[in-house]
Amino acid sequence: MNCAEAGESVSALFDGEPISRRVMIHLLNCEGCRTRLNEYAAMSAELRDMAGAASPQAIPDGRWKLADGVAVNNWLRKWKETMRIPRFAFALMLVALFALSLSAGLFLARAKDNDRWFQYEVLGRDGKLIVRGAVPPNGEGNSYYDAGCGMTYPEGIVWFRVRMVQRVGEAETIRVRAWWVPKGDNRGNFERPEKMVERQFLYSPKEGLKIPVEGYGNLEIKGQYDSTLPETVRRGLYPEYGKFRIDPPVLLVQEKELLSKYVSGGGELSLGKSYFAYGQQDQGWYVFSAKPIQGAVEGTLTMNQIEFVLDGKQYSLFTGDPILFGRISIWVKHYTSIKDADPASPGDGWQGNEPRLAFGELENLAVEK
Amino acid sequence: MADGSDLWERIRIHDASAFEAFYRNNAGRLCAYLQQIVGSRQVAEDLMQETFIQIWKSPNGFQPELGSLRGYLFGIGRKRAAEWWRKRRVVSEERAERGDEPAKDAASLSAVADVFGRLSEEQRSILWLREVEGESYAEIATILQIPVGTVKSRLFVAREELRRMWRSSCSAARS
Repeated sequence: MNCAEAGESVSALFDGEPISRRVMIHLLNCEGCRTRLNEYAAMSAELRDMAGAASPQAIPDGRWKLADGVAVNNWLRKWKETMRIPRFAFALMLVALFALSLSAGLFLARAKDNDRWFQYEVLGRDGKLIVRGAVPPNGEGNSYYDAGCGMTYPEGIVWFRVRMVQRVGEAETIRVRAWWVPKGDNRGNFERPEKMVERQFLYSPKEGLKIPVEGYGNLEIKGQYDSTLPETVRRGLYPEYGKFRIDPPVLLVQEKELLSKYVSGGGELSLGKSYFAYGQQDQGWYVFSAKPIQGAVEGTLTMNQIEFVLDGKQYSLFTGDPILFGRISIWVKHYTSIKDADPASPGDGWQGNEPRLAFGELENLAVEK
Repeated sequence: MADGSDLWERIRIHDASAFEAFYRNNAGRLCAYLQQIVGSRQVAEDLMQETFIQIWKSPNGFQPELGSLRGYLFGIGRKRAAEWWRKRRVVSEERAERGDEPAKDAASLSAVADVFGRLSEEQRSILWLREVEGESYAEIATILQIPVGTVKSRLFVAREELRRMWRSSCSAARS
């Protein structure tokens, strides 16, 4: 995958859309695409700035009041009068629609549940680990291989290519090509895997899937679904498992108007033990925690966006990189004056209305003055 | 204020107070959006007013299952802006034949606004809906009447174009 192929997905990622494993891997290794993501955030901030300036100061009176009104219709009465099917048939139709909507709801619930990582290990015939990996739900047909490697034994090498194709209910469809090359055999016969039939398996997570390989014995795949990417896989684009990361620019938006933009340094902290705070002289502190804190409202954190409602107003906080992978609940407490709280002593010399970021441990948060 | 079926039911039976609230909540943002498309505050305000009048006079066009009321409003506004552009092209061609200068908006433009203003109307529209209005892909698809997949690709193209022009504008400013 190159930058041109990944670009559209980087744009989608900025909008909080899921991306494929291929794109993720590309992003991990491509400074250019990471810069692209950051620049999207910066442009977004500028556009919101511009929008704030462009918004009309006063809304003119609506000319619709002068327009001819359509006579008020008693649509319910008219509808009843013109109903062309028997009432009982209509009632049956409503019941059928209700049942359909219930089943649709069930489907949606499952689809949402699908948004999880499939983490797997491939073990050799001796039960030893050969390779470990994790794949997100596959929405692009997965024409690539998630794992392809070999394991050497005294009497030869077992080679395999494995791909996690699709989740079906609670099972994963896995396709495998595997072959055994005895010692002394022509190891350069690379045409062989292309000619092999790819075998398909339906795997139930947490069980062992045996894959017989002629001349070798069994390879085994073990895996499970999880909501987060394992620490061993988490690199670069997402912070390590159990952590959240705040990378600038950080934008605070209220009711779709940009309130402020922070462009200095960021930080990475423990998800369960720490909090971060975003503050401004005229806005006070907004303290964010993945654990409930007294007096806080519950919001959602999705990739690089936090959304919450305070005093009936919708707020969004955007960051330059994903804060974490996926979506979690996050608690937000607002101190209307920076004098009401001292999250982490941002230091002396905080002049003007430049926003600040502060980080700290939750156990030390009880610092309200 | 709710932007859902309750509000719509009230508007459908011509509840003026409900429509006034709908107008107050959305007129400013619709006007700002239209201004980005047509480039003129006055024209945007006229189009905004026409959009609300259209909905007030013919309230049955909205189908809740296809999107939100706000999305429907922006969709109509966008169509009206497109019609305005079509008419304006005819006028511009006539002016060009007469040798008239094209009209310019008196407002001074910031660097970002200038770069943004050089995007195509379609690109300005989709970027505005996403970045400023915060509309979802599905909502944008409804407003622009294009598939969701197309929203994704057009957003990318628009962002890249803006990024390219913005970078060159920054380079020019530095040199």
